[in-house]
Amino acid sequence: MDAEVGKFIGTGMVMLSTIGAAIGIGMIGKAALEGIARNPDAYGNIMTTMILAIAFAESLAIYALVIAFLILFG
Amino acid sequence: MSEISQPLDVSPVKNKKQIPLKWLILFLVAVNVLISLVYKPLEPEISIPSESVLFHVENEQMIKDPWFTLPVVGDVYLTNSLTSTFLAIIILLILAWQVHRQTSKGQLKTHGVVLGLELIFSGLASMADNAVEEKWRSRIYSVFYSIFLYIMVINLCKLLPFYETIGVVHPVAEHGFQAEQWTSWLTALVRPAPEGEQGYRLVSFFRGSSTDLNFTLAIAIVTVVIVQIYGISARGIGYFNKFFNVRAIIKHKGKGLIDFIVSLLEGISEIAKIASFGFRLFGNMFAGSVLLLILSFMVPWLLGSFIMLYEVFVGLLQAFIFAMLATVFMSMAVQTEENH
Repeated sequence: MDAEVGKFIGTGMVMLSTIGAAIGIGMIGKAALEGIARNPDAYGNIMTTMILAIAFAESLAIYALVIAFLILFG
Repeated sequence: MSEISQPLDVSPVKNKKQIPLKWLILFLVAVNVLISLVYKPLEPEISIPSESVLFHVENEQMIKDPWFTLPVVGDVYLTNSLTSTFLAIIILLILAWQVHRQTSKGQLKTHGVVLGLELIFSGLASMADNAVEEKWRSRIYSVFYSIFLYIMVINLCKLLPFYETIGVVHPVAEHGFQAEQWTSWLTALVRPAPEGEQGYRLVSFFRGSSTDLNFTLAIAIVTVVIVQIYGISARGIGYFNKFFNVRAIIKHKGKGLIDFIVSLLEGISEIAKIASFGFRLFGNMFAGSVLLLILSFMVPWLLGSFIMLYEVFVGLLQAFIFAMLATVFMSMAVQTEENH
């Protein structure tokens, strides 16, 4: 087997970890939508907080992405 | 399409000599299709570290020339992300000069780009008002606005047409591109070099600064240091109680030990903040540029424009997230314990 193959398998396995971030972002979006549906006046506040929370959850997926880039092109 | 074009057609002040925008767009699309038929899209070359613009070629090998040498740090290279940072700083200075010119005589009415900046800042302030105490707003918002404006200008600079396309070529040993001499000083890399022929690679003069980890980590370190400075200036020496909770041990004796150990973790979380700030911006922007390169290699027509539009949105969003998180951390650091 070529060494290149291991690179691609490793990249794929690293990107599996984005499942966690995806679940987290889904839950944040669900909670924000429920909050907006209950209290539509709080739309602005909930939106800002939601974007911040999504950024936190997303940053963990971005770590995996950075490592995948390092494996592929580094 | 019809809903959008309808109000344009009935407008009474229609300039007949002006070419309608839709025909111009259609013309550009046709040019795009024709050019991509003649010059096939090249497989992109992606490099994570930014490349030095100054170099010389020796035995068909690229050797980097240092820009200048510092006594302790060593060689400093003029990389292409550094040049685009300089470009962004020049744009910011022009913006600052415009603001000065329009407000120096005490005018209240502004126009053009200064009005746009006012709109951006008032929108940002209304979003951050809930998070920051009244007393600290003027000090925290100055950092908030600066970070947002800096990252926004740097991310939007990628829209300039000469980014990552114009540069200097140098020969490489393998996987190069064939160089086609157009004029005495203009060379185009148009197709992959055939077997046995000398290949060339491009080092562009400008590359998006936030696709370089050095830039994003530097701005993250500055942000976290500012957070600590604000915390110390608000709470004095008691701020360090957050990291070494000696007060809990004195108060509760043995039970306070757990609080002390937990407070040690706070120090680690400050370092983790640097990493999360830096990697989030770098990862998002670098992923965007890779997506743009690879998708416009696979689909040369039209799609690249829409990806570019999405990239503009992501760039603005990341600038907002970076600045907003910095604001939240600063306002958390200046909160005194009585307000908890």
